[in-house]
Amino acid sequence: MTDTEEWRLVIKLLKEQAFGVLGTNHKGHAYASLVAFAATADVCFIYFATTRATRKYLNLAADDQVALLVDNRADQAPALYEAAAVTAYGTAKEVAAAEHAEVLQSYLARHPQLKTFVSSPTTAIFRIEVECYHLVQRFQNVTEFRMNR
Amino acid sequence: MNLLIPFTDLSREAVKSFGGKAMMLARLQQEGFMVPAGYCLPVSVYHDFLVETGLDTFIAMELQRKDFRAMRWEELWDVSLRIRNHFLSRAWPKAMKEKLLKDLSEGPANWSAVAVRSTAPGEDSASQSFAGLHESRVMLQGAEAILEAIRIVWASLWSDGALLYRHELGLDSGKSGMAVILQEMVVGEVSGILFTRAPQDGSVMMAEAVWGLNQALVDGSIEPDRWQFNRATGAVTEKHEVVHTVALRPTTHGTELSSLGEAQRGQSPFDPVLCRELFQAGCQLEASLGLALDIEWTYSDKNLHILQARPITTSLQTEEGDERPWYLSLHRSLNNLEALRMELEQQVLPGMDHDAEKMSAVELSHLSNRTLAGEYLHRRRILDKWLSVYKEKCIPMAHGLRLFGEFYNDLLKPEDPHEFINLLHSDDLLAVKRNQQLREMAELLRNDHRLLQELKDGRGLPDGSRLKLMLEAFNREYSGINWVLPKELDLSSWLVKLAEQDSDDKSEGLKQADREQAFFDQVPETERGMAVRILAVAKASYLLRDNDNLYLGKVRAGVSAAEQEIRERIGSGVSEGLDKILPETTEKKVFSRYESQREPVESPDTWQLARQLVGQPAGPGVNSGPARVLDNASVLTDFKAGEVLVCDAIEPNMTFLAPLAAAIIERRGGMLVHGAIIAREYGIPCVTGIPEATKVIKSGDQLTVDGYLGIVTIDRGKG
Repeated sequence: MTDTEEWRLVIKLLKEQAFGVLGTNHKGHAYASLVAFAATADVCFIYFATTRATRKYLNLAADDQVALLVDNRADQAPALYEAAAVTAYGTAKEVAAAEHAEVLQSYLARHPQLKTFVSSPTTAIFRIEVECYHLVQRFQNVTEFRMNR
Repeated sequence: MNLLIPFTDLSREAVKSFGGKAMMLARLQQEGFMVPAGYCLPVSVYHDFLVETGLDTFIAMELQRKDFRAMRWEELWDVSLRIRNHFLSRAWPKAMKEKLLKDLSEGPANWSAVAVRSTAPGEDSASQSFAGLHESRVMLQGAEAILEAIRIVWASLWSDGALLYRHELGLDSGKSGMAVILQEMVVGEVSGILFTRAPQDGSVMMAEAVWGLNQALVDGSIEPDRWQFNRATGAVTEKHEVVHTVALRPTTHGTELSSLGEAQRGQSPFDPVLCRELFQAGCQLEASLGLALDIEWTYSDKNLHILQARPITTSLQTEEGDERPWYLSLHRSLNNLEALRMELEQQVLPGMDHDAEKMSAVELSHLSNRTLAGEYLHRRRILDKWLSVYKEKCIPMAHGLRLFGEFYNDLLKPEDPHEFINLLHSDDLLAVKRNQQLREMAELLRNDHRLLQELKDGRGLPDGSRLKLMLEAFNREYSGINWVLPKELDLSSWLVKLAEQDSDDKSEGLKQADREQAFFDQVPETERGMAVRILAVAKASYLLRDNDNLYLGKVRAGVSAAEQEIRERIGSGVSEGLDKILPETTEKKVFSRYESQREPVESPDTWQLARQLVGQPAGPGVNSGPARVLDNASVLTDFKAGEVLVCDAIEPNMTFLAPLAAAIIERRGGMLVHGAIIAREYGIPCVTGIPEATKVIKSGDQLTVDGYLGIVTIDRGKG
């Protein structure tokens, strides 16, 4: 992958932001939820955790296609052009038991305060395999990154 | 609490509220120097105005829309024009206006005339000078005129020059503010400036003077006398004198240049008494403030009044190769532009034409190698001379457009800050003339199905037919200039393309004369004379902006012809004495207004794709179509009707493609670039100022061009 200014911004957003909005499919309707995420160093994968009783868990069981929006906006109008947002598109699958310990370690390195939450047997950890990213800067500049090329 | 604070009440600690200029005047007044009475409107009022009118959001969005470093000078001007227009068109917040009117009625509105000047915190300190970057207004009468001037001065915080300067100083534009000085007008018989240390030679004091008001000196309308004084004795050591014929004088509606009377005509504004007073004031001011100063003064009833004083600063060094500061320094007064226009029309362009004609009269193939080498070098020198004239004379003429733009917007406050361009259209534009002739021929063909079919089948036009005669005349007129029509273009097949297009004339229906009349009808009678002059200069500027390139192109063609002859001789092995004549590269990089755009970063691998690009909205409308990226002239003929034209810059030789384009995208930015002008003329959506456009868009990409918002969307299917 080429080291470009845009790509560096994608990495920066995924590294600096702790939360993102996860989009799932609920019986044909869009469903959005806030999740704490952690991306791998190469940003090919993104992890998040959810309890199994949630609607998003059910949604994911029915359709694993997801979008995750991560941004750095400040809630002030003049900041609109300063904000950047990246959306990851991909497939979310629950992490298998064999990989659980390793994934948990890197996830907790990013979110140590969630130790109790993710250690619960009722919590599932998901891995999004990212197919592409869309980066929006300066309000309307959109760049696409295709990960599977 | 009053919004307007008198100079006498300004405290020394409050420079952040009142700015350096106001503080300096207040201090001089407090120390007994003769300074006209004045008030200051603090920065806080400016900020309140921004917040209450929503301008703060608008300005922030304008400034962040595009990376500042990637903006061309014309784009900076557009940004500044849009911001200025918003300042002028937003209504005053009711309570603020009431308070201001009350304050004005208790002071400045009672003076016979008022000057309104900028005083931005951070400007005019010992290390920074914004001299000339912010606006002033003089000879204002009545509260409404003062309020209008305050908004103009506030808006000048965002002038293109000020934006660039602030950026170079590393100051945050978004955090800037502007206080305003309201000063009683003193109408002097003589006015000028005084440097307590001359900029070129700090060992002497230097003064400049004109008859009448100072503004004509400051904006360059009148050339001043310049005298130098010995800093120890005050003795005059050098005089540069000019012949004075006019002065800027107050009138009932502002100021105007008027002829000098008998007593003053041809006389120097300096006299021994004034010189002595200036020298003494310079010494006292310097001693009092402990700084070398740049002072504006006026002399009235044998009294020297200090209008402004600022520390002398050294000019800022800009990044090497960045020519934007040079472009932005090209402000010209109306008089100056009128003189420049005459020079261009009567000397420069005919001179280029004459040299080009002389070149084309030489039969190069008949020259010996030695003579050819001499001829080639001679032509290069001629080209270099004209390139330098082009930079010095032709480019500054473009400022006729901005002068008119500001005049138009100040007067009419239109919603679209670029509306004034509609008045500049000229049928004398070579490209427009040519497009009109092409349209007429296409129309003829469209109405003759048999002829159209014959041409499509590759058969020629019948001898003596009207179309053939028109075509021959067209070829005679244009094909000699390679800038106008690409040699590769098969004119007949182009005409077939044109004839098969929609015959709707997309240009606006309103006649030029009607537009002009509608404009003049809105100009107050007192300003009509000025409006006529400014519009005439702007139209000439618009026309020359196109045609000067064509003439320069003819000179270039002469150099290329000699170069080509040398190459051919080298190729055929008869090149004795010619081998080392040509430069290493095929074409020496020459100055052009098109070359100030910084190169975009190299496009990355195909895994990174642009989906949506933002530029400047330059022609309203929205349309979709496949892209045709023109990165060199050889693919011009590949262009098909209904495609979106994507190019570096629409050169004069490409404008004939425009009527067939679904939309236009141009790398170069600005409302006054060719693409934007042609697009507006034909009502075609246009977006300019996307530096990476020709790199990231590929021919065939399906594009949607939103000319209202300046957005280009690339549809590459499922992402």
